[in-house]
Amino acid sequence: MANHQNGNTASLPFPKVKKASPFKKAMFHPFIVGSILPVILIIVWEALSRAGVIPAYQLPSPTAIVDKIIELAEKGTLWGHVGITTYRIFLGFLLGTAAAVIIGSFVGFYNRVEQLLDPMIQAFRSIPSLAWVPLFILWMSIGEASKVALIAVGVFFPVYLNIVSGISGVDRKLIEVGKMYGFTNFQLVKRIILPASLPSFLVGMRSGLGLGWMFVVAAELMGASQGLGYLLVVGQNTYSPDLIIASIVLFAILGKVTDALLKRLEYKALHWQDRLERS
Amino acid sequence: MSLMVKNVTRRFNGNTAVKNISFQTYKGEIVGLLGTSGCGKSTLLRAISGLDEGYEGEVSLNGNAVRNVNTNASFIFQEPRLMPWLTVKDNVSFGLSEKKQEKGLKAERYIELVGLKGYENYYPLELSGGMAQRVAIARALVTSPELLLLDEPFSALDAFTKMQLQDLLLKIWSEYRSTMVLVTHDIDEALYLCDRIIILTGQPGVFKQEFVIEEPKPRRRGSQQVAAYKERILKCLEL
Repeated sequence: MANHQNGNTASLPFPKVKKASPFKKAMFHPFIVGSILPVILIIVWEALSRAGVIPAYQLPSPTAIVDKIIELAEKGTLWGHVGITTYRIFLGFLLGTAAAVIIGSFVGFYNRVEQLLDPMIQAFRSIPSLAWVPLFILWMSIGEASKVALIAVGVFFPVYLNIVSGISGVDRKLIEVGKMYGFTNFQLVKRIILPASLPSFLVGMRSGLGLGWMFVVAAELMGASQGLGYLLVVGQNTYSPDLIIASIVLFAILGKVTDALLKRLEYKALHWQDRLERS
Repeated sequence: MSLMVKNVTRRFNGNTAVKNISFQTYKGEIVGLLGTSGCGKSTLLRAISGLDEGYEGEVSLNGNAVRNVNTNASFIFQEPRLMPWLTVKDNVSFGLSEKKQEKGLKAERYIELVGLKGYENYYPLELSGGMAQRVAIARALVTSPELLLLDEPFSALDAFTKMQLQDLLLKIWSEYRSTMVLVTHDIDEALYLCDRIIILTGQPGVFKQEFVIEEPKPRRRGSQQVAAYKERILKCLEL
């Protein structure tokens, strides 16, 4: 958040690019660098499984897990499980973020509202997430509502905290520029305060999404008839580690994909930021 | 626009920053508020602008007492204070409420005036300090203000950029003849730009002396007449 004042730094329009041969450039592409360790790990794991060092009833080989995922896909049940989990995340994320934006904005803008609401919200925040599960099931029964509500609760707090800190961190000097134009409070919020707190809002959205994925597992473990979390339970009850690991892998892929989407959004929305160039 | 400041005093938690300042400007005049740091000249300017409403006394524009921000006045701050998420063009048109096309045309005109044609779509982080301050000047002018308030606008710039922007300011003044109040601690700058220099000294800052600079503008930097004024001002500031 230190980049609101940018006027005094003389920076070049374009970052300096070191010249490198095309081959070397391809070798050190971030994607390839990032894949080195996972690929080695998978190869070692596969080799150990084939050599019989790791028994298949505890940790099946990577190929067995891929087979399992393909099998699920061929049976057609995979899409249902993935779809319902993604749907729950999406809805819960939307609700949690919306609530956080509305409440967080008021808390950030008005001192009185902060004094009124913030202590209570902080107290709620310290309740362990799983403690909500029985209550939500009791209130909303085992259907979708209780699961979505749980995810929304998980998403709410990081988004809320980041919005509040983003708004209170907006440079007062920028606000004065708006005041000189005779802006109303609403205009100040819309044209200066919200854009200026966008970086922190996006950070909150990303950590909120991470928590959303955690909470969807909790929700689906507790009682569901479909979803990736449900597959975990089935895998445990039927002694099939391949099913458990297959759903873990699917969670990893979905989590990474959704995070990458948000990261892309963040990059597009914050291209104006003065970023640290690392070598 | 004529500005009248009458017995303005500003206290912060019991500490007086400026005390009993009165002065007046005429239409199209450039008045400098000169003083050592801590004499409350920026405080006074903020009171005039209406950004700070906690002062005692009276500020009137064209004979009407005002206390809050007046949209006929523009403020150029010490820092550019550009919105980092907006391009140069959008920063310049930031305070305009016309239709988009009209806003764009106006912005382009003032961007050209400050010599930044071709940089319309740059973001603030891609600009040098001097360029950013030019954008800030364009942004202040785009509303066609009758009163321009400048708070040490060039003090963060290097000596050469500073001179270029002082010349730019004179060019703008000769074109629009807007009234300006310039807060500065740079005697040469005040002597180069101002028709009248008001010296504030002490803590709390009080009115010390007023110099009317009768040399016509543009003046030559370091000419003998200017040097004579400088000597008198230095004496007045007891330096």
